[in-house]
Amino acid sequence: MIQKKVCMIGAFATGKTSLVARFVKGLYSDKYQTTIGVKIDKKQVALGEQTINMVLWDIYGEDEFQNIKMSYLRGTAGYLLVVDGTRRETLEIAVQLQAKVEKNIGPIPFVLIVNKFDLQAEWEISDEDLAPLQHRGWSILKGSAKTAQGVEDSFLQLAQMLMAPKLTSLAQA
Amino acid sequence: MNHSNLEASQGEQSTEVGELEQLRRLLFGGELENLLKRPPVQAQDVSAVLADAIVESQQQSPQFSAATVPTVEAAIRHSVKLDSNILSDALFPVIGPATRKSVSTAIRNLTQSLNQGLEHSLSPKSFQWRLEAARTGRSFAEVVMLRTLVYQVEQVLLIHRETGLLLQQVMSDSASAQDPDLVSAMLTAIQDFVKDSFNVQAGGSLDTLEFGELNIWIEEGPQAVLACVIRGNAPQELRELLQDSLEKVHRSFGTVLQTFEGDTDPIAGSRLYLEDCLRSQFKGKSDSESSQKQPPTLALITGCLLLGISGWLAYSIWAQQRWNDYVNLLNQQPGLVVIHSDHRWGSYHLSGLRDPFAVDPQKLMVEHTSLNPKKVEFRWSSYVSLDQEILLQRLQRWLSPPSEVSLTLGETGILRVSGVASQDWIDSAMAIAESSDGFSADIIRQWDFSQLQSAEQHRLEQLQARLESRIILFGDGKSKPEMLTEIEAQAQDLKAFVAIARRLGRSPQMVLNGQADPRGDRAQNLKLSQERAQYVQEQLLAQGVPARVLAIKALGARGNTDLLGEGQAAQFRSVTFSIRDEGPEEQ
Repeated sequence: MIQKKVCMIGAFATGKTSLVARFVKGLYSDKYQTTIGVKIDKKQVALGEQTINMVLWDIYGEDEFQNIKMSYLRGTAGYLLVVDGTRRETLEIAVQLQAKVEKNIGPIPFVLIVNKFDLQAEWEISDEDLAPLQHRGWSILKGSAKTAQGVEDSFLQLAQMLMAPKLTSLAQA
Repeated sequence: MNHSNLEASQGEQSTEVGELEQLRRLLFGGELENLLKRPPVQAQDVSAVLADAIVESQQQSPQFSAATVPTVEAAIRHSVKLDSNILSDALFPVIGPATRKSVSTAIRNLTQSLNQGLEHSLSPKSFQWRLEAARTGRSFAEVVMLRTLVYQVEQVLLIHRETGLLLQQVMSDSASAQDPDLVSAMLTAIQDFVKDSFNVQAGGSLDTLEFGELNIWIEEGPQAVLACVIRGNAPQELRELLQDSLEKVHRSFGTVLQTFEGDTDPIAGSRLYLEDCLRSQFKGKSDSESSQKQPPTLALITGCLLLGISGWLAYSIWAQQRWNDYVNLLNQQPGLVVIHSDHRWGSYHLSGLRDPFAVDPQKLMVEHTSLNPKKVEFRWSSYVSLDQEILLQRLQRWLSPPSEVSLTLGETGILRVSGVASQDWIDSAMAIAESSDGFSADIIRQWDFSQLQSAEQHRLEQLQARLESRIILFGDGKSKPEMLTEIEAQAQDLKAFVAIARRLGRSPQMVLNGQADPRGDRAQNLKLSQERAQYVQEQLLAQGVPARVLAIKALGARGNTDLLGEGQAAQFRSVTFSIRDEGPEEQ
């Protein structure tokens, strides 16, 4: 059995917890997040013949009052960077967070998901905004925790990246 | 041949050589040439580099291990097929301890739950616990365990320190727990949270989490963390055990932990060390102090109860035996028949038949047993026993014989009455004998009085013997004796004899035999014998003996002169007496 620690990172209220809730049925209630800043869930993903046990650390979103605790990211194999499509500033925070993680933890696999695709009409983020990031080799998906669109895909993609770390880092280079 | 022809032929020759070369190359080729030039690969050359080659290929290609699996599997299968002993011998040192450990753990758990169940199944608390079990829907054993627990390690988690991922975990059989993967991550998060939130000094760690009776002890190592979920209050030794186990894990799996990338299979062996930590302790077992101060009431009560029961049993057996012995003794007595006997709550009841001549059962009890006669209730019905002993007693009572008379009942049914009794008694006894046929004819077929003598007759015989044994001696040639007192005694005896004989209806006579020794003249001797008898007769008459009972007989000289000495001759100078019965007295 392969186990991987995966973190959910993003600005406040981008829908990280909703995405996890859509992906798994968890054990702990949401109040853990506000008390100790993290909530943990688990999901088994089958990748070919290999089963990966993803332990998901859903970290409390960063806002002006609270920074993400970098210690929670220690030992993480990869992370899901979550952006709220309807709030442009969350993309900026995501970019900052990615840089912070890379600085603290190193270049580890991640997938950026632009959430709330069900509210596409209200989106403040356009494809043009995402293009430079895509250009940097970022894996970007659009999804919705509400409709489940893109949720499974983003986790699966991250799982694939986790299982072939060398390849991903090569691609990023 | 012209020049051009020569050239042409030379050209042809060179072309031929080139073609031949070409053909040769085509035929044998470079490979063959190389093969011929290079020597073949020797096995020893390969063996020199084989080990390095394997290491190299393992490092370069992750598939190497996978590639060798079929070969290794086939080799193992082949080995087992050839001789299974080889592999089993090789595995023996591994399998032994592993099996032992597994079995001992299973037995320990079983014994523990059994002991708990047994110890508490009878205690007063058990009823309370049974109620609790019924109320909460838990098993009784579970409730007992919870209530008697000092501590129990319910779950041990080995967590990768960096990632918070679960490496291995073990649980006690009775515990229930949440998803250990999530618990591991959460514990790590909590550790981080505490470290971040409160300014703990570097290197410090969260050692203990407490919630009611639940404790989580955490031991941190360089690569891994051991978290131990404990119910109750564990002793400090457990902490040392945890540290020791964690050190062992690091020693055995240090490199694997350092390069850990999520694959937990290589660390599966750490389970053994974790199982070591699954300890528990229950009240009353190692709690020696309290058990010494306060002996378990249950054990005391049970002990007393057992002692009481065994004592009571021993007493009952003894009492029953004593009673049986007494009943047997009664049954052996003539004239007693025990029909029913029982023994209830310390009192005894006995009923049966008893001949009035039989021994007194109460007396027998006092003399032969330790039974209290007051506690025995007798119910006897009277009956007449035909037992010989009783029959004789009955006859004794009936006949009331004088002490000189004895009654014996022979096997042939002959009652022998022997001894001496007065004629009156003899007459009455004979009368009884004639009339008693009615009730005891079966037992006493015949009465035998032949050995019975009447007292008078007996006296008569005594007197006759005395009378006939006396001898009155005379001096040589004398007709008067010197022994006058003898004559007096003879007179007394004779008078008594005659009196008794008369009572018996007889008239005996005593003959006085006058005798002389053979010396001297025959006629003189006859005269002398006559005078001697007459003299004694006169003397007897003078003593009051009636004349009619006396008769004189002059025997003259007696004995042979030549054969007699002086001492013997003197015997014949005498008067002797003999009694003759003259038949019934003539009235």
